[in-house]
Amino acid sequence: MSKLSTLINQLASYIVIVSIFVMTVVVIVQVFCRYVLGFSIFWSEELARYLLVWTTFLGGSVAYKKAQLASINFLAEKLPARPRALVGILAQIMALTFIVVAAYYGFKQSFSPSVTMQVSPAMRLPMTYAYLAVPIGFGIIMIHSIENLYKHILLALKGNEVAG
Amino acid sequence: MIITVAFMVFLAFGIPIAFVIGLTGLTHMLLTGNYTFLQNVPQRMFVAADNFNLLAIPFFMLAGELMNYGGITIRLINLARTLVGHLKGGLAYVNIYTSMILSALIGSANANASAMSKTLVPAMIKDGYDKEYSTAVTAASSIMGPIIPPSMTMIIYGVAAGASIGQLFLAGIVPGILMALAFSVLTFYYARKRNYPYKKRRAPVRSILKALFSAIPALLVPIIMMGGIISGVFTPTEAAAAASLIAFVIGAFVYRELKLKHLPQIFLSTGTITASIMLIVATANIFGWVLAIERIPQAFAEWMLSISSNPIVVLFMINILLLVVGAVMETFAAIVILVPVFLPIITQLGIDPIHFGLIVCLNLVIGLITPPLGVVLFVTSAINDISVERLTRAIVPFILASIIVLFVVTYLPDMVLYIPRMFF
Repeated sequence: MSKLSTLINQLASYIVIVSIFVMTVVVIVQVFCRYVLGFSIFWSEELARYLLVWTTFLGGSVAYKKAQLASINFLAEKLPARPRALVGILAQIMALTFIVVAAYYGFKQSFSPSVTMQVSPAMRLPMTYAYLAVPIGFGIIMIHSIENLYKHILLALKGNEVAG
Repeated sequence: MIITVAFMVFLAFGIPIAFVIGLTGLTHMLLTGNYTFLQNVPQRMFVAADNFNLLAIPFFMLAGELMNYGGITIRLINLARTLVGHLKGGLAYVNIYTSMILSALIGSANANASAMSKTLVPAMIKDGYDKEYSTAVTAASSIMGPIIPPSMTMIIYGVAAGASIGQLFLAGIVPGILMALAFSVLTFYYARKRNYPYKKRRAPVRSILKALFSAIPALLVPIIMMGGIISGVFTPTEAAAAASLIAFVIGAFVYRELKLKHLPQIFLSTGTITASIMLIVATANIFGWVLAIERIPQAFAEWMLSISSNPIVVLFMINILLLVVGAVMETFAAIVILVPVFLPIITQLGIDPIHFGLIVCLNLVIGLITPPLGVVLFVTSAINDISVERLTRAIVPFILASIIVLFVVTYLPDMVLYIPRMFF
């Protein structure tokens, strides 16, 4: 699980790097074309928007893995080790509820007829590719989160042994 | 009510704020038994993230990162130092005015606070300032970041309220300058009271010119950006992309401190910081949608207008409410959730949404330096290794000064709207 989580995170990081690069270049080139060459790339805005969607959810998984998502930790940190581990387990389970709902319904929606039949206005890209960002991002977050949960449980058990 | 308690509990457990907000919306759906709403969870998040205006966030972030790596920040500090370093409490003014210029380059208080903490606070302490004051002035001036254009906060407000981001940017200029002045007055007072150090001699004209010359390329970034937006050449998103390009060219070819090998790291941190903001916007959209379904904004507007329909009184109440919200809630989430709640009231009272945008942003950025949950307090206290308690005591006068600016801005709309009216 831990290996899987690391591997996927690396992959997600690469995609985020490429995605930021491409969206920046596309928008700059679009401005250049409009003012200097006198024509517009009609699909540039759409591509940049979908890249932003993918960056949001894949980048979100990278930020989650690195524990960079803003959270309020100072309350839990005041607790002694064992209750803290228990609070950590509870927090992971609660967060997982949301993550699983987002991933499950995200997949369901991406493959629902109303989405699969739909293509994007400019690039004629099936909308499934855009919508999939949500479930794939949250799917990855789920993997990281389960790994975190496992770590917290180990920590709680260890605390037990020390206490016992 | 249960929802509020659930929100607090999730937050206290240390769950990332983005998930806390989504989870709160989810809890509401489950409690009310509207299981069919669940399929809207991914839908609302997708819709929130799929927005061309929000693309400005990664671009401004990227421009900021490129400028940091490219040595632009340091040159701005040098310029401010040669200009005001000889005054009593000189480095404190340097801090305020560098922050102001930096605010015109990057749109986030956190980025501003951490850049200044790493560079200027050690210099201030070395010169004999106490750590509390040095850190407090850094934290306080960093909140000009989201007021002086460009600003992530205003981009998100513009999207949430359907207001022009270009006009919001222009409206931020006067309040931003007012804040710098208010902080300068405080510094003037403390510098005399505590006898803060200063350089005896004014920097020679030659070194001022040298610092100015070396900072000119850096100053080009905001000029091209704002000029482009005002003249209608760029949308704010395109201006942000252009700013990244300029920052790259200056950092790589003029200052030559930015190397190709830095780029993947810069892109990755741009991506993750963007994502952590966007995830909050996305999940806040679930929550906002739940509120809208329950017709909370309408009920709230009716309740508030039943207390008073006088704009002065209503704005006063909104200010107090937002100051509290800003102190306990994440800025972007607060905007996405609360702006649609306030908007019916604002329209009914005939308050300009651009003016209101400034009021909202000021309230929420003051929350960034207000305990218990002011993010900038945590960032600066961590970097400068000072306890939040000690920092809080030193920052209270700055909070009060900002609140005075807030009320000036609230009750003098013409002053705020003067610059946007010139161009739009």
